[in-house]
Amino acid sequence: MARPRPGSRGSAPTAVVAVGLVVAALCVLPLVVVAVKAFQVGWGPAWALLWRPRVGELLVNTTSLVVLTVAVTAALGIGSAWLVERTSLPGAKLWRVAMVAPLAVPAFVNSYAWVTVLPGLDGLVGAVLVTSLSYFPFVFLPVAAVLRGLDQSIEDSARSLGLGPWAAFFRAVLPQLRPAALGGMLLVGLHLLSEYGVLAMLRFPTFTTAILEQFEVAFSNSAGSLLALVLIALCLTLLTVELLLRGTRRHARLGRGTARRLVPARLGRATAPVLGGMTVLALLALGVPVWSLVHWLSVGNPQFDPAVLLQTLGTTVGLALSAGVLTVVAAFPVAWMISRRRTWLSVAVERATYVASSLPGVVIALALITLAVRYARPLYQTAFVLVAAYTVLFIPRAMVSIRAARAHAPEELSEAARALGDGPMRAFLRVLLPLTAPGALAGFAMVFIAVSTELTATLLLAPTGTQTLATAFWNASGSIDYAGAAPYAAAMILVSAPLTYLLLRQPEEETAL
Amino acid sequence: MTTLRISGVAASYGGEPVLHGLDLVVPSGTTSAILGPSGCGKTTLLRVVAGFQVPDAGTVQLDDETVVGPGVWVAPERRDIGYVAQEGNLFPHLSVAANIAYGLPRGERRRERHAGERVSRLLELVGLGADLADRRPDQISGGQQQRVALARALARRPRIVLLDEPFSSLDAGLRTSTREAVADALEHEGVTVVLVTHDQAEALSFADQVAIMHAGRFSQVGTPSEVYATPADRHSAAFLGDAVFLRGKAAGARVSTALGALRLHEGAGEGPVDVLLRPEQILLGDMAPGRPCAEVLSTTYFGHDALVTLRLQADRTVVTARVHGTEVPPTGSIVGLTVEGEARAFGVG
Repeated sequence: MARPRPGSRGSAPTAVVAVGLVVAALCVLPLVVVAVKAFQVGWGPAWALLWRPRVGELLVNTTSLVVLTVAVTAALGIGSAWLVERTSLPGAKLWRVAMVAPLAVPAFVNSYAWVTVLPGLDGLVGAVLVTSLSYFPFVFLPVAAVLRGLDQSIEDSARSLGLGPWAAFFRAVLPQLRPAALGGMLLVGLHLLSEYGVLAMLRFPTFTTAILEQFEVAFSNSAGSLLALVLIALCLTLLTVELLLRGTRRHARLGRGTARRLVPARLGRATAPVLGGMTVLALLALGVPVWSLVHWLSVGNPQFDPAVLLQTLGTTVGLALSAGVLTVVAAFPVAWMISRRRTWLSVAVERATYVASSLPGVVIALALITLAVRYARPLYQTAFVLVAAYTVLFIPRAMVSIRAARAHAPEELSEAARALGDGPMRAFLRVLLPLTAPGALAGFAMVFIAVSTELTATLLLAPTGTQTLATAFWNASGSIDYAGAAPYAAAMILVSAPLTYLLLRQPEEETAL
Repeated sequence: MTTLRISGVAASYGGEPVLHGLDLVVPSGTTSAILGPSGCGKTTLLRVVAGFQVPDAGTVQLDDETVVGPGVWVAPERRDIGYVAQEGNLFPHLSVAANIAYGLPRGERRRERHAGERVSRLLELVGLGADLADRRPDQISGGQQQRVALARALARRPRIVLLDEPFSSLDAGLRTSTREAVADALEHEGVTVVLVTHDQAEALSFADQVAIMHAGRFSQVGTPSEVYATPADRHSAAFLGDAVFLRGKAAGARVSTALGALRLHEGAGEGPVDVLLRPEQILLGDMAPGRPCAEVLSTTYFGHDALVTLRLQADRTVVTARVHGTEVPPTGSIVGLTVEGEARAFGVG
């Protein structure tokens, strides 16, 4: 009896590859759409639109914001990670949570809190202050994970080769932090390029805020598309710089055996000032938003209607649920392909999904609007397009968890199931699915939280009349109804709180947000 | 009771050919070991038999049924072949009992979930207590995991069992005891077994038939004593254990060497040959007239025995001899040598 031949070891089943390719294509589509649209403008008009003092100002603003904030977050993130993981700082576990928790406060909520405390705050100083406090955990997380996993014996070897304690730290320990720190800084940079809420509230124009303004002024967005192209170029520049700085040297542990635990550095008399510094950082990053929220909640707004909040919450949860499920379903085949033997195809598919993630939400939203208006008019202004945008935006977050889970279900286990009489489908259901379910669930939760607090793409794509927590908050705070915005902010923080837990248990160097 | 027939199997991995037309017959109820260094293709052959890899050419038959051949490919789950991998590959989300019962029909599986009769019998068969049944795979030792993996494979009463280096990840003491338990269980079941290993002692002690594999080909197939005493070529000789090579001059059934005239296993014609002896064939004694003598250069002590490195006084050739741990001669002393058994001659290479 002739049966269909299976693929050779390493390649994924054809159906999985097909779905993976479709997902990858959807992820690159926005990039293509924006490029095509920009090129349709023509060289002459494009030049005229780009070569303006206004664009120069945006470029200066965007660049200085990225450079300054990345530097500040690197210093805060690496410094606090070292203090928490490598020194005798009292209460390290608590500090670890405190240094990650700011991520549960959406950045645009943080800016609202700061404007509450310092009403005059705006411009570059305000933007750097608020974004640094919101984003330094992106550097803290991967660096702390690496510091925690570092092998003391490497430092010991350096000492035995004649290096003093400081020289050993700089020559043996610090180089190992480089990939993690650079990865975190890249993440901060990409977030800054796509940040809208904070910068609009603090009146600091960048490319992203300009693109949204353009869109609000005129739907014909050829100028917007050109600005988006510049924004994409900036993203690609960041990616390239990070790649060049990271290099190709390996930093993995060589040899077998368990890594020895680190001996923490003694802070001694520095303990009190260090504790003070950490407390100030925590107060600025967490205390300010909490105080502001409590303040506005206690002030209250007589017109606040809990029914509206509940309805908005319902809409948000509905959108987040659909986007979470769709994203996990889409990420599964891609993660499956990548976890097998690396082929040019699987690498290309993986890269495609990451390209999409580095594109600002505003670019993806604009591209989807263009596509819907031109080719699928009935879909325009529907939740479907919005959910599709969320999927493209957040697929890498789901993939990180699913990939890690997939590593717990190696191919050999499927083979063992086959040898025990299971067909491919039954082997998948009985072995692969139970083993990857926890990872898929974590990935789903990450996407759910991200969608619940997404602002930029939602503002552009939400059907008329549809409010999410983020847009309801934005509209209220935009009309200076700070008390009315507070309940929505509180709801978003409650929904996001589990993020802290999810991020802390994520495998090291796998942090992607 | 099933006979495995492999004929003309060729296979490649990542575009590189790794198996070049292999033939092997494993008679019903016997054990064959495929012995070779890592990377020689032995695991690939096992994967072809199990159905995890499609060969480029050749057929695999279980008795009269062809499972792989021109125009024929039977899915792994329909081959009734038990497969035990290097790491055991127990399902981490299932208990020991659920792992063993995994391949049973649904109804029976439900009954066996908490160590029913079948699971208990299998645990006993591989030398484990029924108290392990509710443990998770990560709560038992590596050796126990391998035994559970075997029990899981045997639960379905497979036609043949394939063992892919099942003991190599265990440490020395555990390896021996696990190997014995597995051998006993397999013998009790009377199942046809193919073992893949790079450990010559394991292959020689475990199997009825040893196939020595080198660069994707079988260089020799035979009983353990055959392949050890009369290796087909120098590679097999050196791979199977310590070997002593001497220059010699053959004359019919005898060969003259620096260790005197030796009996040959089979005549090698006339002329110069290379002569193979095993270290345990060289016996140390007192010097005596007409007996070749040698100086002890060094000794390597293993406890139960020792290897003695000797320089022959006749032509200063260096050879090794294996002696009992209680009879190690002092370094620098001069000893007389005698040779026991037959020698093996190869053409001068």
